[in-house]
Amino acid sequence: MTTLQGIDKFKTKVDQSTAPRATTWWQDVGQRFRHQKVALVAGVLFLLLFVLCLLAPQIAPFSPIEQFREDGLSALGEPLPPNAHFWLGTDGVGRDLLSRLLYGGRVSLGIGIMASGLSVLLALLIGGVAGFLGGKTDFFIMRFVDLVMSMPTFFLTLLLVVMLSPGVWVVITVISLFSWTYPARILRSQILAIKRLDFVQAAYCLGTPRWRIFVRHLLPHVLPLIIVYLALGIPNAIFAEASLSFLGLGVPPPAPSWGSMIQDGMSYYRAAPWVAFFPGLAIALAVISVNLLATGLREVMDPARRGR
Amino acid sequence: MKQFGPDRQYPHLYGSFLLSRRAFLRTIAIAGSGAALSTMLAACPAPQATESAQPGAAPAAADAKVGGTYRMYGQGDFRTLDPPGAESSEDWWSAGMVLFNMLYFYTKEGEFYADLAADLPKLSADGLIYTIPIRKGVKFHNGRELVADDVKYSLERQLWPEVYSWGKTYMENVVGYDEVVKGPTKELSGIKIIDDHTVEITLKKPQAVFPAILSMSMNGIIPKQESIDAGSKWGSEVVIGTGPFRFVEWVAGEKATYERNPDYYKSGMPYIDKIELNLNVEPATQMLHYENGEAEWVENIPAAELPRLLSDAELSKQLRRAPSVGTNRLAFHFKAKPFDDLKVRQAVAMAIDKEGIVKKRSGTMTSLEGYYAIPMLQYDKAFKSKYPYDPEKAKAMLQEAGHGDGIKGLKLYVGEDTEIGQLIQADLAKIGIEAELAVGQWKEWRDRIRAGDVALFMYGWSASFPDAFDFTSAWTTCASADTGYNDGFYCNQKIDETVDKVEALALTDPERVKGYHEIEDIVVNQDVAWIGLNNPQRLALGAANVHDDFISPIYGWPYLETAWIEAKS
Repeated sequence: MTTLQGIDKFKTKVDQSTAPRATTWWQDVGQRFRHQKVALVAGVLFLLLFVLCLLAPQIAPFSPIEQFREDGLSALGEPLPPNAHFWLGTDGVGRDLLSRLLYGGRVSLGIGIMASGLSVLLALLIGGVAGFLGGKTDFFIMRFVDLVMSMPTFFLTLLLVVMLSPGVWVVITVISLFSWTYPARILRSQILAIKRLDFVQAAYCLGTPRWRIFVRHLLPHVLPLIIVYLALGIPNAIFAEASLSFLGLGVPPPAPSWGSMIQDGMSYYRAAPWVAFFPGLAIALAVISVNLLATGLREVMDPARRGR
Repeated sequence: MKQFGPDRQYPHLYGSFLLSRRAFLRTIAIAGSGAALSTMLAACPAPQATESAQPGAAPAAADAKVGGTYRMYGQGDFRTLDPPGAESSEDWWSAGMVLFNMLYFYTKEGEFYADLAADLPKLSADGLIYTIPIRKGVKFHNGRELVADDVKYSLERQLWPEVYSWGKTYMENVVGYDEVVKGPTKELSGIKIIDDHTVEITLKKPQAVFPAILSMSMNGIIPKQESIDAGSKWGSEVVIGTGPFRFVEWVAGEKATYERNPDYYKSGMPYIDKIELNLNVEPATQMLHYENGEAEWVENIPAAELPRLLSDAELSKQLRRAPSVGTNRLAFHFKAKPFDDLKVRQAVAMAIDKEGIVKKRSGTMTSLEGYYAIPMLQYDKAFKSKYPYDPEKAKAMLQEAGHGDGIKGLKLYVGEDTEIGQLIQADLAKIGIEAELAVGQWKEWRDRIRAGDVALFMYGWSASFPDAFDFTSAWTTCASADTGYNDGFYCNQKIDETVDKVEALALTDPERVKGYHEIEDIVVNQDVAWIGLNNPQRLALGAANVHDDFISPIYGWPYLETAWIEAKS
């Protein structure tokens, strides 16, 4: 009884108002994240870009594919600089750059997010299965990962896109096909570590089905990693999309994307630098903001980095 | 129509670079900075002896014009200065327009004239035998007089198996061609020397354009004995022609120098003392030299520089322009839906904003009503398309054809020029035709175009000489679907019959010209086989104090026999 009394005693001594309340993991992350000022600003910026692009049909001043051959081009057929009518100027065939930028963002950000999501999903499936099952399965899967990692991915991406003929879904699929390997290795090692912990072993002993162990006991523990790598993957996917579009292998014209807009502007880099500058700026802003956001998230979520 | 003439293995297409043997045609590409004159040129002056009009320049006495060095830049090096082997921009021009002459040639306006020949050829009644008088008193650069033997030798030598020539097959209609090309026969039995100043050429079949083929630089006239004596030095160290300038030296990869030929047969000409052609110079560097005043002429104007040049008051005055012998066209596949329907083709013809393309290219091309290039003999200024730009009417026409809801799932081949491609794509979208752009090199797409998978295609092509035969035999006849570049399988027997009929006439026969006008009308207005889009210009920069250095529509480089340099005060 003494023990119990002791506890009671301890309880009474604590002032409820100042006692640290039990916080959930998410609340803890939220609190830590608030101190990541840079990441916070970056997050807001990315959200802003995202919302602007999402609302493109509502806010874009013109259609992104309408060519203003009379008032959208100079007498010599050159793009117009930013002016009161076309806020960011026009491109080589007299289309409004601002409208193209907004619509193009839907493609670029959309592909960035989707491709990153798909690649993390692949990573989770492949890396997760490898770590979870272990043994020979793990060995073969990881050698396959090594194999994919050793490939010159960009050239394979080019090849595949050409073979499958360019389009939004082809680009998303092909980008994710070659970007899942790194997160897969991380997720595998994390799962490998977690599955040896007591609570997982206990679930085994209770006869919990393996799929349930994976979903209920392992997945929540790698969720932070998933979020971090999802965010880290977006800038890479945006870059990959821009590179493909730049080479004419992205979304087919006349639909805009930031990469294809830079491509359109290349021939005017001296005469009309704004044609390539604005989409370039948009890519830079998107990539930097997601990157900073992802770094901040990693600081507060990644178990390996927490507490440093 | 293959038997009739040039074996066209090298069409020039947008962006793609098929002309491996003669890089010059690159400039015709709609994408590149094309070259030259938008308006029709003034009436043709008498070809040779008279000096062409000098707009703006004070007429100076011939003597006052003489002197000066003409410095120019080329992007590549020479292969050789032997006329049949000279095939890149720099050596092709040097052989064809500077050091040698052919029997016939074209003026800057595209007028055909007798150069080393004394007159236009006499054609026999059956259209098979050409009798060509040779100009008397023409001297080679070493002082020896040109005779018929040199002419015969020059024409047959380029066919020998051991001589490299880019243009042998153009001569396949001459009797005896096969024996000489395969060897070991050296003498071309179809060429006979009548006397020292007359040759007679016998053909297998009537061929009106044969004299035009004699104007091509592989048929440049070289001195027989001197070239044999030179052996392997011929074309590089020993170069003896009849042209307005004499060969001085060629330092491989660096430069070539030519000097004035005081004994040139066109009396008084040329005026320039010396030509310095610097080789292997990048276009951007050429521009720098030019703007530093270190060049009288540059041809490789980077496309991106064009608007700047055009908006610069001084430089725009120095821009030389001439219509090329090439055109850009939008063609249909005749066996593929929906273009097997005349109404749909008419609708497309009315949907294309040709002026929009011209504006996009800063006015460096001329939009076309028909499909012949401006310098061509058969170009008809008065020709009007029955289907001018009218999107509203086009839409109605499409509805009439049963496509009220529009047409989807088409592919449009545009070469590598996505900008012009997107203009056309938008024009089509306006009347309800949704077309995906097919972008890339022609050889990668040609099979799919021929199969009808890509049923709408934009082709650009440059002729070898300013005559509509070249276009017609490669594009329009039924046979050209197999032997030429009629990739849409357009076939109208009437055209083949007309070609057969008029090709038996003389080159400049009015009946022949009329025949080609009829063909143009059938192609453009009756069958709407394709849409002639535009005629790109050749462009170059020429110094303000140089006069009469006109651009050749064929070569894209200047006529220097007429050019003179005004001393800077």
